[in-house]
Amino acid sequence: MLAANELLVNEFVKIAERKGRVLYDFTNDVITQAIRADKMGLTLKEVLDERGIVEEAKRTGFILVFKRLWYEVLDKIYEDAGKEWLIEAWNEAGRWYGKLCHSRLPEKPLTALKDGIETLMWDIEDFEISDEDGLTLLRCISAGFSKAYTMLLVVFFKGVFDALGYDVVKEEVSKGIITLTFKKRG
Amino acid sequence: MSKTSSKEKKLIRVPSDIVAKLNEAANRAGRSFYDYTSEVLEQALRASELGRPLKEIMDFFELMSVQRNAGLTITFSELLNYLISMLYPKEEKALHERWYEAGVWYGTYLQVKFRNKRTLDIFTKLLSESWWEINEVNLSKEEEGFVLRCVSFTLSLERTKLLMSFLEGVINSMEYEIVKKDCIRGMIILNFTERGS
Repeated sequence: MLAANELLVNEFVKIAERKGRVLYDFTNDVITQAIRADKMGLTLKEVLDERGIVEEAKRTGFILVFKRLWYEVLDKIYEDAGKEWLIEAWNEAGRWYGKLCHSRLPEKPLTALKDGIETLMWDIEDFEISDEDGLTLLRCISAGFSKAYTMLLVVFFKGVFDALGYDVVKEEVSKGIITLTFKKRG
Repeated sequence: MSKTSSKEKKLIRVPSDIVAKLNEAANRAGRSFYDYTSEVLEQALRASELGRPLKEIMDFFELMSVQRNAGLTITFSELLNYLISMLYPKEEKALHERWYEAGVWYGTYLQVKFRNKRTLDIFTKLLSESWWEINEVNLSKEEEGFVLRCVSFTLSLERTKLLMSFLEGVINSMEYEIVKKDCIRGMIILNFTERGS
Protein backbone atom coordinates (compact mmCIF):
# COMPACT_ATOMS: atom_id res chain seq x y z
CA MET A 1 0.00 0.00 0.00
CA LEU A 2 1.10 3.56 -0.50
CA ALA A 3 -0.28 6.68 1.10
CA ALA A 4 -0.91 9.91 -0.76
CA ASN A 5 -2.90 13.09 -0.41
CA GLU A 6 -6.60 12.30 -0.29
CA LEU A 7 -7.72 14.84 -2.92
CA LEU A 8 -4.97 13.72 -5.24
CA VAL A 9 -5.96 10.09 -4.86
CA ASN A 10 -9.61 10.97 -5.49
CA GLU A 11 -8.66 12.73 -8.74
CA PHE A 12 -6.49 9.78 -9.65
CA VAL A 13 -9.35 7.35 -9.07
CA LYS A 14 -11.60 9.47 -11.30
CA ILE A 15 -9.09 9.30 -14.16
CA ALA A 16 -8.76 5.53 -13.81
CA GLU A 17 -12.55 5.24 -13.94
CA ARG A 18 -12.79 7.56 -16.93
CA LYS A 19 -10.26 5.42 -18.76
CA GLY A 20 -12.09 2.27 -17.76
CA ARG A 21 -9.02 0.99 -15.96
CA VAL A 22 -8.76 -1.01 -12.74
CA LEU A 23 -7.17 1.31 -10.16
CA TYR A 24 -4.58 -1.29 -9.17
CA ASP A 25 -3.36 -1.71 -12.79
CA PHE A 26 -3.51 2.01 -13.54
CA THR A 27 -1.44 2.83 -10.44
CA ASN A 28 1.07 0.16 -11.40
CA ASP A 29 1.47 1.63 -14.88
CA VAL A 30 1.97 5.15 -13.57
CA ILE A 31 4.56 4.12 -11.00
CA THR A 32 6.34 1.94 -13.56
CA GLN A 33 6.79 5.04 -15.73
CA ALA A 34 8.05 7.05 -12.74
CA ILE A 35 10.64 4.35 -12.08
CA ARG A 36 11.56 4.32 -15.78
CA ALA A 37 12.15 8.09 -15.60
CA ASP A 38 14.19 7.67 -12.43
CA LYS A 39 16.45 5.15 -14.19
CA MET A 40 17.13 7.88 -16.76
CA GLY A 41 18.08 10.22 -13.92
CA LEU A 42 14.89 12.26 -14.22
CA THR A 43 11.60 12.86 -12.48
CA LEU A 44 8.25 12.62 -14.23
CA LYS A 45 7.88 16.37 -13.74
CA GLU A 46 11.08 17.03 -15.70
CA VAL A 47 9.95 14.68 -18.48
CA LEU A 48 6.55 16.38 -18.72
CA ASP A 49 8.10 19.87 -18.63
CA GLU A 50 10.38 18.96 -21.51
CA ARG A 51 7.52 17.38 -23.43
CA GLY A 52 5.57 20.64 -23.17
CA ILE A 53 8.44 22.72 -24.56
CA VAL A 54 9.16 20.26 -27.38
CA GLU A 55 5.47 20.08 -28.34
CA GLU A 56 5.36 23.86 -28.48
CA ALA A 57 8.50 23.90 -30.64
CA LYS A 58 6.93 21.41 -33.01
CA ARG A 59 3.75 23.48 -33.25
CA THR A 60 5.62 26.71 -33.88
CA GLY A 61 7.73 25.50 -36.81
CA PHE A 62 10.88 23.97 -35.37
CA ILE A 63 12.32 20.79 -36.86
CA LEU A 64 15.07 18.29 -36.19
CA VAL A 65 18.16 18.49 -38.35
CA PHE A 66 21.62 16.96 -38.27
CA LYS A 67 23.93 19.36 -36.46
CA ARG A 68 26.76 18.75 -38.91
CA LEU A 69 24.59 19.51 -41.93
CA TRP A 70 23.02 22.54 -40.27
CA TYR A 71 26.42 24.05 -39.37
CA GLU A 72 27.78 23.33 -42.85
CA VAL A 73 24.84 25.05 -44.55
CA LEU A 74 25.12 28.05 -42.23
CA ASP A 75 28.89 28.30 -42.65
CA LYS A 76 28.63 28.20 -46.41
CA ILE A 77 26.00 30.92 -46.62
CA TYR A 78 27.78 32.99 -43.96
CA GLU A 79 31.08 32.82 -45.83
CA ASP A 80 29.49 33.54 -49.19
CA ALA A 81 27.10 36.28 -50.13
CA GLY A 82 24.33 35.72 -47.59
CA LYS A 83 25.98 36.99 -44.39
CA GLU A 84 23.95 40.15 -43.94
CA TRP A 85 20.68 38.45 -44.77
CA LEU A 86 21.52 35.63 -42.38
CA ILE A 87 22.31 38.03 -39.54
CA GLU A 88 19.01 39.82 -40.06
CA ALA A 89 17.09 36.50 -40.22
CA TRP A 90 18.62 35.27 -36.95
CA ASN A 91 17.99 38.56 -35.22
CA GLU A 92 14.37 38.41 -36.35
CA ALA A 93 14.09 34.79 -35.20
CA GLY A 94 15.48 35.93 -31.82
CA ARG A 95 12.91 38.72 -31.50
CA TRP A 96 10.16 36.25 -32.36
CA TYR A 97 11.44 33.78 -29.78
CA GLY A 98 11.69 36.53 -27.16
CA LYS A 99 8.01 37.33 -27.71
CA LEU A 100 7.18 33.64 -27.48
CA CYS A 101 9.01 33.45 -24.12
CA HIS A 102 7.08 36.48 -22.91
CA SER A 103 3.77 34.95 -23.94
CA ARG A 104 4.67 31.67 -22.22
CA LEU A 105 5.71 33.20 -18.91
CA PRO A 106 4.88 36.94 -18.83
CA GLU A 107 6.15 37.28 -15.24
CA LYS A 108 9.41 35.42 -15.85
CA PRO A 109 10.28 35.47 -19.57
CA LEU A 110 13.96 34.87 -18.84
CA THR A 111 13.06 31.62 -17.05
CA ALA A 112 11.04 30.61 -20.11
CA LEU A 113 14.07 31.48 -22.25
CA LYS A 114 16.44 29.41 -20.11
CA ASP A 115 14.06 26.41 -20.06
CA GLY A 116 13.50 26.67 -23.80
CA ILE A 117 17.16 26.99 -24.74
CA GLU A 118 18.21 24.15 -22.43
CA THR A 119 15.49 21.89 -23.80
CA LEU A 120 15.65 22.75 -27.49
CA MET A 121 19.25 23.65 -28.20
CA TRP A 122 20.81 20.27 -27.67
CA ASP A 123 24.16 21.46 -28.92
CA ILE A 124 24.66 23.93 -26.05
CA GLU A 125 26.77 22.52 -23.22
CA ASP A 126 26.44 25.33 -20.72
CA PHE A 127 23.76 28.02 -20.64
CA GLU A 128 23.31 30.45 -17.80
CA ILE A 129 21.35 33.65 -17.23
CA SER A 130 22.13 35.53 -14.02
CA ASP A 131 21.65 38.95 -12.44
CA GLU A 132 24.61 41.01 -11.28
CA ASP A 133 24.54 44.63 -10.07
CA GLY A 134 21.34 45.43 -11.90
CA LEU A 135 22.60 43.87 -15.12
CA THR A 136 21.64 40.55 -16.71
CA LEU A 137 24.44 38.24 -17.81
CA LEU A 138 24.04 35.51 -20.42
CA ARG A 139 26.66 32.80 -20.82
CA CYS A 140 26.45 30.21 -23.57
CA ILE A 141 29.19 27.66 -24.24
CA SER A 142 29.62 24.81 -26.68
CA ALA A 143 32.88 23.38 -27.96
CA GLY A 144 31.12 22.19 -31.13
CA PHE A 145 29.99 25.59 -32.45
CA SER A 146 31.50 26.86 -35.67
CA LYS A 147 32.57 30.50 -35.80
CA ALA A 148 29.61 31.40 -38.01
CA TYR A 149 27.14 29.60 -35.73
CA THR A 150 28.57 31.39 -32.69
CA MET A 151 28.13 34.78 -34.37
CA LEU A 152 24.57 33.91 -35.43
CA LEU A 153 23.64 32.82 -31.92
CA VAL A 154 24.92 36.15 -30.61
CA VAL A 155 22.54 38.05 -32.90
CA PHE A 156 19.77 35.60 -32.00
CA PHE A 157 20.20 36.29 -28.27
CA LYS A 158 20.40 40.03 -28.92
CA GLY A 159 17.08 39.72 -30.76
CA VAL A 160 15.53 37.79 -27.86
CA PHE A 161 16.62 40.37 -25.29
CA ASP A 162 15.64 43.28 -27.51
CA ALA A 163 12.10 41.87 -27.67
CA LEU A 164 12.09 41.55 -23.89
CA GLY A 165 13.13 45.20 -23.42
CA TYR A 166 16.89 44.90 -22.84
CA ASP A 167 19.86 46.62 -24.48
CA VAL A 168 23.21 44.92 -24.82
CA VAL A 169 25.91 46.83 -22.90
CA LYS A 170 28.86 44.44 -23.23
CA GLU A 171 29.75 41.43 -25.32
CA GLU A 172 32.64 39.01 -25.24
CA VAL A 173 32.51 36.47 -28.02
CA SER A 174 34.92 33.84 -29.27
CA LYS A 175 34.27 30.61 -31.17
CA GLY A 176 32.00 28.49 -28.97
CA ILE A 177 31.88 30.97 -26.07
CA ILE A 178 29.35 33.77 -25.75
CA THR A 179 29.11 36.19 -22.83
CA LEU A 180 26.61 39.00 -23.18
CA THR A 181 25.61 41.65 -20.64
CA PHE A 182 22.22 43.34 -20.89
CA LYS A 183 20.55 46.29 -19.17
CA LYS A 184 16.77 46.61 -18.89
CA ARG A 185 15.51 49.64 -20.80
CA GLY A 186 13.87 52.45 -18.84
CA MET B 1 -1.15 22.08 -7.32
CA SER B 2 -4.29 23.28 -5.61
CA LYS B 3 -5.68 19.79 -5.88
CA THR B 4 -3.33 18.72 -3.08
CA SER B 5 -4.39 21.21 -0.41
CA SER B 6 -6.03 18.51 1.74
CA LYS B 7 -4.00 17.20 4.68
CA GLU B 8 -5.82 13.87 4.75
CA LYS B 9 -4.08 10.77 3.44
CA LYS B 10 -5.58 7.92 1.51
CA LEU B 11 -4.14 4.51 0.70
CA ILE B 12 -3.76 2.92 -2.71
CA ARG B 13 -3.02 -0.76 -3.16
CA VAL B 14 0.09 -1.52 -5.24
CA PRO B 15 2.45 -4.53 -5.41
CA SER B 16 5.19 -4.51 -2.77
CA ASP B 17 8.02 -4.72 -5.32
CA ILE B 18 6.75 -1.55 -7.02
CA VAL B 19 6.54 0.20 -3.64
CA ALA B 20 10.14 -0.86 -2.93
CA LYS B 21 11.36 0.54 -6.26
CA LEU B 22 9.46 3.77 -5.74
CA ASN B 23 10.98 4.05 -2.28
CA GLU B 24 14.46 3.63 -3.75
CA ALA B 25 13.72 6.36 -6.30
CA ALA B 26 12.47 8.68 -3.51
CA ASN B 27 15.64 8.02 -1.51
CA ARG B 28 17.84 8.74 -4.52
CA ALA B 29 16.01 12.03 -5.03
CA GLY B 30 16.42 12.85 -1.30
CA ARG B 31 12.65 13.17 -0.93
CA SER B 32 10.20 11.66 1.53
CA PHE B 33 8.25 8.70 0.17
CA TYR B 34 4.97 10.54 0.69
CA ASP B 35 6.11 13.67 -1.22
CA TYR B 36 7.61 11.64 -4.01
CA THR B 37 4.47 9.53 -4.40
CA SER B 38 2.31 12.65 -4.42
CA GLU B 39 4.42 14.19 -7.16
CA VAL B 40 4.14 11.02 -9.26
CA LEU B 41 0.36 11.10 -8.94
CA GLU B 42 0.29 14.85 -9.70
CA GLN B 43 2.25 14.25 -12.89
CA ALA B 44 -0.11 11.44 -13.85
CA LEU B 45 -2.99 13.92 -13.48
CA ARG B 46 -1.05 16.46 -15.55
CA ALA B 47 -0.45 13.87 -18.30
CA SER B 48 -4.13 13.05 -18.25
CA GLU B 49 -4.97 16.75 -18.69
CA LEU B 50 -2.66 16.74 -21.73
CA GLY B 51 -4.64 13.79 -23.05
CA ARG B 52 -1.61 11.52 -23.26
CA PRO B 53 -0.76 8.35 -21.32
CA LEU B 54 2.44 8.59 -19.31
CA LYS B 55 3.90 5.64 -21.19
CA GLU B 56 3.51 7.50 -24.49
CA ILE B 57 5.18 10.56 -22.98
CA MET B 58 8.09 8.45 -21.72
CA ASP B 59 8.37 6.68 -25.10
CA PHE B 60 8.55 10.04 -26.84
CA PHE B 61 11.19 11.26 -24.40
CA GLU B 62 13.34 8.19 -25.09
CA LEU B 63 12.89 8.67 -28.82
CA MET B 64 14.05 12.27 -28.58
CA SER B 65 17.05 11.09 -26.54
CA VAL B 66 17.96 8.75 -29.41
CA GLN B 67 17.78 11.68 -31.83
CA ARG B 68 19.86 13.88 -29.54
CA ASN B 69 22.53 11.20 -29.20
CA ALA B 70 22.50 10.64 -32.95
CA GLY B 71 23.71 14.22 -33.45
CA LEU B 72 20.48 15.97 -34.30
CA THR B 73 19.47 19.38 -33.10
CA ILE B 74 16.32 21.48 -33.20
CA THR B 75 16.14 24.47 -35.48
CA PHE B 76 13.80 26.74 -37.44
CA SER B 77 12.16 25.01 -40.39
CA GLU B 78 11.57 28.14 -42.46
CA LEU B 79 15.15 29.25 -42.09
CA LEU B 80 16.48 25.87 -43.21
CA ASN B 81 14.09 25.88 -46.18
CA TYR B 82 15.30 29.30 -47.23
CA LEU B 83 18.99 28.52 -46.78
CA ILE B 84 18.69 25.33 -48.80
CA SER B 85 16.87 27.20 -51.57
CA MET B 86 19.78 29.69 -51.67
CA LEU B 87 22.48 27.03 -51.67
CA TYR B 88 20.86 24.32 -53.79
CA PRO B 89 21.31 25.82 -57.28
CA LYS B 90 25.10 26.12 -56.80
CA GLU B 91 25.79 23.14 -54.53
CA GLU B 92 23.20 20.52 -55.52
CA LYS B 93 25.62 17.62 -55.96
CA ALA B 94 27.60 18.36 -52.79
CA LEU B 95 24.42 18.74 -50.72
CA HIS B 96 23.06 15.41 -51.92
CA GLU B 97 26.36 13.73 -51.05
CA ARG B 98 26.32 15.22 -47.58
CA TRP B 99 22.69 14.23 -46.94
CA TYR B 100 23.37 10.71 -48.22
CA GLU B 101 26.44 10.41 -45.95
CA ALA B 102 24.35 11.61 -43.00
CA GLY B 103 21.81 8.88 -43.84
CA VAL B 104 24.49 6.20 -43.93
CA TRP B 105 25.82 7.41 -40.59
CA TYR B 106 22.37 7.52 -39.01
CA GLY B 107 21.44 4.05 -40.29
CA THR B 108 24.68 2.64 -38.94
CA TYR B 109 24.11 4.37 -35.60
CA LEU B 110 20.63 2.83 -35.30
CA GLN B 111 21.97 -0.64 -36.09
CA VAL B 112 24.66 -0.32 -33.44
CA LYS B 113 22.29 1.12 -30.85
CA PHE B 114 19.43 -1.30 -31.48
CA ARG B 115 21.48 -4.40 -32.16
CA ASN B 116 19.34 -7.52 -32.67
CA LYS B 117 16.18 -5.45 -33.02
CA ARG B 118 14.15 -4.64 -36.12
CA THR B 119 16.06 -1.52 -37.06
CA LEU B 120 13.92 -0.78 -40.10
CA ASP B 121 10.78 -0.62 -37.94
CA ILE B 122 12.56 1.54 -35.36
CA PHE B 123 13.71 3.87 -38.14
CA THR B 124 10.15 4.14 -39.48
CA LYS B 125 8.88 4.99 -35.99
CA LEU B 126 11.58 7.64 -35.55
CA LEU B 127 10.68 9.13 -38.92
CA SER B 128 7.01 9.26 -38.16
CA GLU B 129 7.31 10.60 -34.59
CA SER B 130 10.21 13.01 -34.74
CA TRP B 131 10.77 14.11 -38.33
CA TRP B 132 8.16 16.76 -37.75
CA GLU B 133 8.03 18.04 -41.30
CA ILE B 134 6.91 14.60 -42.51
CA ASN B 135 3.16 14.24 -42.08
CA GLU B 136 2.75 10.61 -43.09
CA VAL B 137 5.18 7.71 -43.05
CA ASN B 138 4.27 4.25 -44.18
CA LEU B 139 6.45 1.17 -44.52
CA SER B 140 4.86 -1.85 -46.13
CA LYS B 141 6.11 -5.31 -46.98
CA GLU B 142 5.15 -6.21 -50.50
CA GLU B 143 5.76 -9.19 -52.71
CA GLU B 144 9.03 -7.91 -54.11
CA GLY B 145 10.40 -6.25 -51.01
CA PHE B 146 9.50 -3.14 -49.06
CA VAL B 147 7.93 0.20 -49.92
CA LEU B 148 8.59 3.31 -47.85
CA ARG B 149 6.25 6.23 -48.49
CA CYS B 150 6.73 9.68 -46.94
CA VAL B 151 4.36 12.60 -47.39
CA SER B 152 4.95 16.18 -46.29
CA PHE B 153 2.73 19.20 -46.77
CA THR B 154 5.51 21.69 -46.06
CA LEU B 155 8.78 20.44 -47.57
CA SER B 156 10.14 22.33 -50.55
CA LEU B 157 11.15 20.36 -53.66
CA GLU B 158 14.84 20.78 -52.81
CA ARG B 159 14.37 19.54 -49.27
CA THR B 160 12.20 16.64 -50.46
CA LYS B 161 15.02 15.59 -52.79
CA LEU B 162 17.59 15.93 -50.01
CA LEU B 163 15.40 13.90 -47.68
CA MET B 164 15.29 11.19 -50.33
CA SER B 165 19.10 11.12 -50.46
CA PHE B 166 19.14 10.82 -46.67
CA LEU B 167 16.61 7.94 -46.75
CA GLU B 168 18.63 6.19 -49.45
CA GLY B 169 21.71 6.44 -47.23
CA VAL B 170 19.85 4.94 -44.27
CA ILE B 171 18.36 2.09 -46.31
CA ASN B 172 21.63 1.24 -48.06
CA SER B 173 23.44 1.14 -44.72
CA MET B 174 20.98 -1.51 -43.51
CA GLU B 175 21.77 -4.24 -46.04
CA TYR B 176 18.95 -3.28 -48.37
CA GLU B 177 19.15 -1.97 -51.90
CA ILE B 178 16.90 0.54 -53.59
CA VAL B 179 15.24 -0.84 -56.72
CA LYS B 180 12.96 2.07 -57.58
CA LYS B 181 12.52 5.62 -56.38
CA ASP B 182 9.99 8.36 -57.02
CA CYS B 183 10.07 11.89 -55.75
CA ILE B 184 7.89 14.91 -56.27
CA ARG B 185 7.55 17.92 -53.99
CA GLY B 186 6.44 16.65 -50.57
CA MET B 187 6.29 12.98 -51.55
CA ILE B 188 8.86 10.19 -51.64
CA ILE B 189 8.29 6.56 -52.58
CA LEU B 190 11.19 4.15 -52.23
CA ASN B 191 11.06 0.47 -53.21
CA PHE B 192 13.85 -1.66 -51.83
CA THR B 193 14.79 -5.29 -51.27
CA GLU B 194 17.20 -7.17 -49.05
CA ARG B 195 20.64 -7.11 -50.62
CA GLY B 196 21.42 -10.30 -52.52
CA SER B 197 17.80 -11.47 -52.56
